[in-house]
Amino acid sequence: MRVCLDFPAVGSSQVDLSGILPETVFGRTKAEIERLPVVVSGRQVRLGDVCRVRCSSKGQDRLSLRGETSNLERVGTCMGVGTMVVEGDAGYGTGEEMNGGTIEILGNAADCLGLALHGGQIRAAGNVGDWCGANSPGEKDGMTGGVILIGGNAGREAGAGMRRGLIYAAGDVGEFCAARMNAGTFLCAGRLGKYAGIGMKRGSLVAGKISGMLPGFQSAGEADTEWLKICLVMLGKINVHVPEEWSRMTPKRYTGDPLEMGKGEILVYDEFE
Amino acid sequence: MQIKGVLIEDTFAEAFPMWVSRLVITADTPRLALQAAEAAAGLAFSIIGCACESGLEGALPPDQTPDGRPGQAVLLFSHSPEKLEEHLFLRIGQAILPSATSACFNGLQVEKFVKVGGRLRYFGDGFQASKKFGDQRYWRIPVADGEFVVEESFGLGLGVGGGNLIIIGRERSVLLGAAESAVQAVRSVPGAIAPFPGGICRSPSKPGSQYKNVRASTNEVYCPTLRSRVATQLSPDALAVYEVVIDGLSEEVVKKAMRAALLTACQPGVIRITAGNYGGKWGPFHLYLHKILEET
Repeated sequence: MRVCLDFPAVGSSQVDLSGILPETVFGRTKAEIERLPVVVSGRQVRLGDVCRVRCSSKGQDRLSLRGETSNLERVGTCMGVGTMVVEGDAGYGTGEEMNGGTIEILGNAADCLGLALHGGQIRAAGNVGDWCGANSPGEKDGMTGGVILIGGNAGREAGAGMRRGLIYAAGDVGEFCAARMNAGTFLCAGRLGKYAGIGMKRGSLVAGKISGMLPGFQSAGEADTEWLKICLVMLGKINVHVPEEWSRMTPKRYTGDPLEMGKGEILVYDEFE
Repeated sequence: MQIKGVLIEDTFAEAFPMWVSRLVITADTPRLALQAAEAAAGLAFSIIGCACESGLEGALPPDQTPDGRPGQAVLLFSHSPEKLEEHLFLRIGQAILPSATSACFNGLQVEKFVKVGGRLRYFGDGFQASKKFGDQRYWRIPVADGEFVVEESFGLGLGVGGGNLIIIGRERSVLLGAAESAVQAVRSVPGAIAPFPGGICRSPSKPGSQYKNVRASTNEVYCPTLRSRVATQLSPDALAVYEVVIDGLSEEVVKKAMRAALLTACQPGVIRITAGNYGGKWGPFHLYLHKILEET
């Protein structure tokens, strides 16, 4: 079944779409889907009041969001199964606390993409905002599983508090990347911003370049790491192509943060600036 | 039945269910991967004396290994899951871990898994670290040329062991050539191994002995030097016998490998091909040579 929600380009009200998931939509009639509740500016309304619903029984199960999608907040929150496609930009909190399934964003994503992600895969073709894969406010742990793939750049505090899972950014990543990281893997094909890995206990941060290494991080020479090869093979299988030089160059390895457990590692392919 | 003048005896090989595990061993070069695989599969020829049987399934190109490096697949068979787990731990820890640049992965997706990397990690003495990608957890154990990466759990499946062919020939060197070709044919079948040195056993055994503490002994009916003293199975012109033992991931795989080996072994100088069994009382798989040739 294919369900397409077409949002008109009128008004700038934020639509909280957190209840609209593949598992709540598939198996329902068009009329039932239109009656599902959503929140617009603090008021509960029917889904049919904010978008046009189209259903088709042909093709694989897929929930598509079209039109003015950048006003849609918390798309795919707590999603467990299925596929959602945002055919444009995604708003705040997309994929928050998601457990499974796939969200594909054809444009950019706002802040808090994959916040406290537990499982599944989020793929954003463009840039993403701050706190991607980070912890929810007041919580200690960031993402605990799953995969976030970013086609462009990521903002500040991406992967903050990360405990498990994988984030790959094809572009640059902002300041405080993987701050307080407990475990997991963060790969940045571009440049990492300042204070990358601050307070990290364990986990791996891999970068093409880095804007300065934090004091205290110790050089551990060149690292021929087989685990990274496994990771690159796995990324290749889901059509993520890391920089070609990563497969032939050996990165330099730094360990830290010594103020915490110090079991974390930052692998850098190029000399940092 | 005769193939190319070689008599195929109307008998069967008696095979047994065995627990099996498949290791994928990788290294920086094909030579290093082979070296580690051969070490891991060493001294595992017969379940009777070695408690497990093992062999190289074949080389794996980089695009078929988890880390994109050249690899080798090794099959390890044993009669109980506990014994197999013990040998996995021993062989990965003592043969693969010390091999230069090596890594070791599970190559069998089944329902039953045992922790091997999860136990080997303690070699890291607190410096070990884990990586989890999807459902797979890998352990990184620091070693002097970098890190030994080993998968946490390895699958244990039910395979079939004890498929065999006994090849009887006129002249030892010619017969050896035929047996070696048969082993190559076995190795061309995915999921099958010939566990003996070079895949060939020159000492077919029988269960028991005249000595009470010996579990298996030479099968005198196939020994050319004893033909005048025992009820020999050898015709007057037969001067040597080689056995090819075949283990596989399933009965079908063993049958396929036996067929390939049978057809390849029918060469000039080979008189007769038969198979070893215990009258059908011990093993549930009765692999009839004629049926194998007709069926497949």
